Amino acid sequence: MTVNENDLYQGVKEFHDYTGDLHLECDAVVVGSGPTGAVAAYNLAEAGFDVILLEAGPIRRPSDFVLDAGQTLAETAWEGGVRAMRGNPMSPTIQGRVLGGSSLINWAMCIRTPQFCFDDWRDSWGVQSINRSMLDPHYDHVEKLLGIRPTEEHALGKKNILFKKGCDKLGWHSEPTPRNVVGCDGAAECFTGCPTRAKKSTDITLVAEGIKKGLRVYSSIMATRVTHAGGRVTGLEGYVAHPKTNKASYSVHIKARVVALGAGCLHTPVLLQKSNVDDPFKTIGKNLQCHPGAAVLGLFEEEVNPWEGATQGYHSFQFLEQGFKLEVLWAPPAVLAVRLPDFGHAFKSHLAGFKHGAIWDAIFSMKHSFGQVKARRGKSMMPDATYRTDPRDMPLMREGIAVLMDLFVAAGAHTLLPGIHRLPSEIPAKEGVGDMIRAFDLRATDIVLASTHLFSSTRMGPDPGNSVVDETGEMHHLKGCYIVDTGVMPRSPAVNPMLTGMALADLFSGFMIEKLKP
Amino acid sequence: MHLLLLIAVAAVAWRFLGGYPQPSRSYTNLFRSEVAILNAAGEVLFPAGGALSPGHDEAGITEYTDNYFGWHGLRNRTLMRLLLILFEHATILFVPSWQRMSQLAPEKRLAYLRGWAESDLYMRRMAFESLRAIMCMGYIGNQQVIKEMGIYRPEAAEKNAIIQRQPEA
Repeated sequence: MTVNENDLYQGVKEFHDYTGDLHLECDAVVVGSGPTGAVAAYNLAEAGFDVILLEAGPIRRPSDFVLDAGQTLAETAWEGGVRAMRGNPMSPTIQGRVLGGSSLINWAMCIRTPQFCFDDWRDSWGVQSINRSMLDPHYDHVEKLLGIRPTEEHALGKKNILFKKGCDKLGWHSEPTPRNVVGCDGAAECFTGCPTRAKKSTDITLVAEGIKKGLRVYSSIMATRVTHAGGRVTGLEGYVAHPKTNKASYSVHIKARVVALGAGCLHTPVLLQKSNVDDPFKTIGKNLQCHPGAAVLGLFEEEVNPWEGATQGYHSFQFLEQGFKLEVLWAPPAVLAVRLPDFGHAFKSHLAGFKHGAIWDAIFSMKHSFGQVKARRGKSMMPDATYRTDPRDMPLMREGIAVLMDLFVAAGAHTLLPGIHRLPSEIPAKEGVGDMIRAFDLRATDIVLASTHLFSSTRMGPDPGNSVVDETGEMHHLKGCYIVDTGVMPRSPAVNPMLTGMALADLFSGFMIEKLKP
Repeated sequence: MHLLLLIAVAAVAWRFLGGYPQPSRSYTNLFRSEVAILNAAGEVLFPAGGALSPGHDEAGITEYTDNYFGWHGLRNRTLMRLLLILFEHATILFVPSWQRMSQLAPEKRLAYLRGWAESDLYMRRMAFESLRAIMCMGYIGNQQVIKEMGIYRPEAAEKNAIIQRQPEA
């Protein structure tokens, strides 16, 4: 799908366009222009319905992109990018607050969930109808819409090539990561905004194409209440939100027959809780799960120049069924530098040595660790999220970190910086180094864990007693209201959840279309 | 008795609020005390010379943080202010010393901050990570530091960038 850059944002209402209270009517209103909301909005518009798409954040144009990580986070992420889930440990988490949602600032990984996860969803939560083969056509559709393809060889960069080298030496699976990127030049600036727009975030794809099909897009609108009567949805209310401060100005009232919530795993439950929807079994916001990620920095004799090449261009499924996925990692050096050891001149030496470094990480499917999302008191629409790492999941995390160390040794690293409290800050990369971690009594508070993959806070299932939506995405207790974001996943998808979230949104769109037909 | 009490209150007030030097330049968002705190932390965490020539001053960490405060709303700014206050005044507990962090001799100041970074108390370590995160953003946001670290944008990406930026002078 190609889009003329000049036409990209035509048709999107912005903050300065609003001159008074808004009273709108449509067939369907979608909340959230991120990956899942954008899929739903596009599909419904393409089906010929009158659809409104709301996005709380502003447009972020290429001319707004800055390389500075701090400024980018402050301007594109909820709560200025300093949001964290309370718990042991605290888990920093980032969600986008811009047109395109997190797809504008994420690392573009688009991976199909393996069948064993759907087996788990069935066995643990009774989700019968959704499995890999029935979801494959929806994966196909979304992948075609976004031009998803494996990372091209010329865009890899050394950090990805060394990852492959290590996996090859150990006989482990590895492959170029499928991404929603077309024509990557390896700038590794996914986080601050792709300078060439090779990354096909939803603002320049599904949203832009949806507008051509009649989609009405309103940015800087914060949804505050799903309106309902007699167990049926009637629309949405909200306010015009200042692009920077989120301060409320004009009110927004939308009448709609269908409401689709793609506000994300943290914001959708808050919106529902603030709407006083029927929740007799108190399931909304419960069972929050995520993929905590732990990273190791390895140093090589050669220059790796980790700022060159696709941010996460390679990954490995070798240990997926065991419970973790290995991947290359890159983020702005200012963000990564915080986990370097030492102080003063020694710390600066590490910074100077970054050019010899690669950072690889593991993301973990934690079976026993859960959290919760609650709405804060008063008018705030911000979530109060907690997440507790269960000690029963620590052996998995320990093994994942050990495996990363073994991988670095196989790839030829000479020194490892594990970033683990109570361990040496630098460890020689020798054969068997992973066993040091395997023998270590690792606690969750020993590591800096970040979790940007969130799911299950409004999970699907056949039983209204322990789930929020059914297998069509419709809420058990509020007809006409669908949830399309990753909150519906009953358990971990084992891999980065974006593509599966989009495929589910694509599936649910079909049901919404049926509901809207006369 | 009342005089003694007055002197005690004045001493405590001075300890917490008084004696901060006038900064050498004006700042939009930072208070005088915050400038002093950041400069003091920067002096030991990002000294001049060594593997990367700029120190905290030349890299403009305090100026960056002034901008950083401006990019955030009231809630985050308040949290960051509290963070700086915590580091400045917790010397009473963790050195222990009546002197504020910004008044400690550099070696003592570095040891004090190291104590936060290496503490067995998780929240102390997290507090240090938060402080260092802000300062790292400032340090690595400096063009000279970026140049000396060897960071660059690949030629192909530079050529194809939609917005061509002029390099900073």
